Amino acid sequence: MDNLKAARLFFALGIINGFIALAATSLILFPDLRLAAGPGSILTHNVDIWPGHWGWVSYYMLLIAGVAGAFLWSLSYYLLKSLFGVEKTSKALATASIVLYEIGVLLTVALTGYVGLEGGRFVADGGSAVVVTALIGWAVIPTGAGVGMALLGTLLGLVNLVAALAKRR
Amino acid sequence: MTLDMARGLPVKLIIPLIVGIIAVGLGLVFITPQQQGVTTTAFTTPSPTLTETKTTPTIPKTETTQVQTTTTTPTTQTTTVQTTTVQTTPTFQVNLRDFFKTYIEDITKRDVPAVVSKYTSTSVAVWGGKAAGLGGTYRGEGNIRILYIAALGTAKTIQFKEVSYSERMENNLGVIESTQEIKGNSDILGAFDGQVKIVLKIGIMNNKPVILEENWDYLAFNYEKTGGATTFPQWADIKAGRPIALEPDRNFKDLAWLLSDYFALALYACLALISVMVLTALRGKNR
Repeated sequence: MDNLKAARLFFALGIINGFIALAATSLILFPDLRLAAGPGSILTHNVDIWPGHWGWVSYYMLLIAGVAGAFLWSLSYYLLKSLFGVEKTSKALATASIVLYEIGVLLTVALTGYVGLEGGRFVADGGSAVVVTALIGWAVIPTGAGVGMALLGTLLGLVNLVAALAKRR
Repeated sequence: MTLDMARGLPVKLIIPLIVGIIAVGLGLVFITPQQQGVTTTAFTTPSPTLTETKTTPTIPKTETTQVQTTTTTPTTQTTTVQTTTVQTTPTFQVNLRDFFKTYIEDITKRDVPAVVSKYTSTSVAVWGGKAAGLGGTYRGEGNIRILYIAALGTAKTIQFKEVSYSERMENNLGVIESTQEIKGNSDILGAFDGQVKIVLKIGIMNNKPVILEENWDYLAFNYEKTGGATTFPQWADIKAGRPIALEPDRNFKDLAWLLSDYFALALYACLALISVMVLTALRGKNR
């Protein structure tokens, strides 16, 4: 795949993830969701109560891995061409990297967000931290799968970059 | 140049607009709840005791009875219809003993849907005492369902033995008080036994007896395993220093546990491979 094309794809993903982050942040504007204040809010209660703090993990994962990460990948492919003169990388590796990275990040963000908001609210409303496992337990293994996909995507991307540099020699 | 400016204009307008909208929205959300009497009720912690009257099943009902009185005179016959208003309160016609027996049987059978069908959206279940992590306040049949899934879903057997039972009427609600000895076996807790005092307040909704308030006070509760209930029971084993016995061909969680190990190892192997590739490339370049 042409490196500029890969850079453009990751840049587009960064913008898409940015819009998702914007939508996620705007949820705070809905008082019914109790995100800003009161029992069960992610700003006052859930921040230090398990599993509420997973909401924060989800949010920062979206910002750091989803938005910033995509732009950094874009920059990496762009620099591969401008700094090292490498025009192309493996199409299969680049495609697999982009797909796995995006699906993995969004799956992980969505599931940890669910665990943090729903689970945190259940506990904040008086539920037990043990009983809440029955509510959120189903999300744990899929979350692990999401993390695995994102890691695999990242790894394939790194392999792609290193292999391209090695071939350049 | 003009074209570039025209292209940049929407961006210059849209970004401050979005930032402005978010700033105003955040300001409204943070400032508004602090005003008296605006939305404070939405953030008030609900009272642990159920005091709502809308679920009270038996509201005194007014019945109209017509009493016909006939008065006869020598010349004319006059019929007077006198209307008398009689206020009656319907009697609570639920066999509480049978209801409680069914309730305990459903729990013993670990039949969560049958147990949960006895609650309403305004029911409150409070489990306390030595409840082994199950303690809490659960409002509404949705949260109560989660409580019973957690309590019964991991249990292999549960048995009750009645120590005491009493029932009475209180404000048109049936009140059951019973102390039960409980014992059984659970994936999370291992073998367990204990004693629990159960208080139920029963009302009638849609011609059906329902539990409006439930209070389980665990007077004693002993269990084999400690370390907490999690998605992976193996985590509790690690915390307790017990060996982990995996059965990946029978249990999906055990399979996920095992595959995760191999996946992580494969990632490390790939990273090592990349490092070798980088070193090889660097060495070749230096020659």
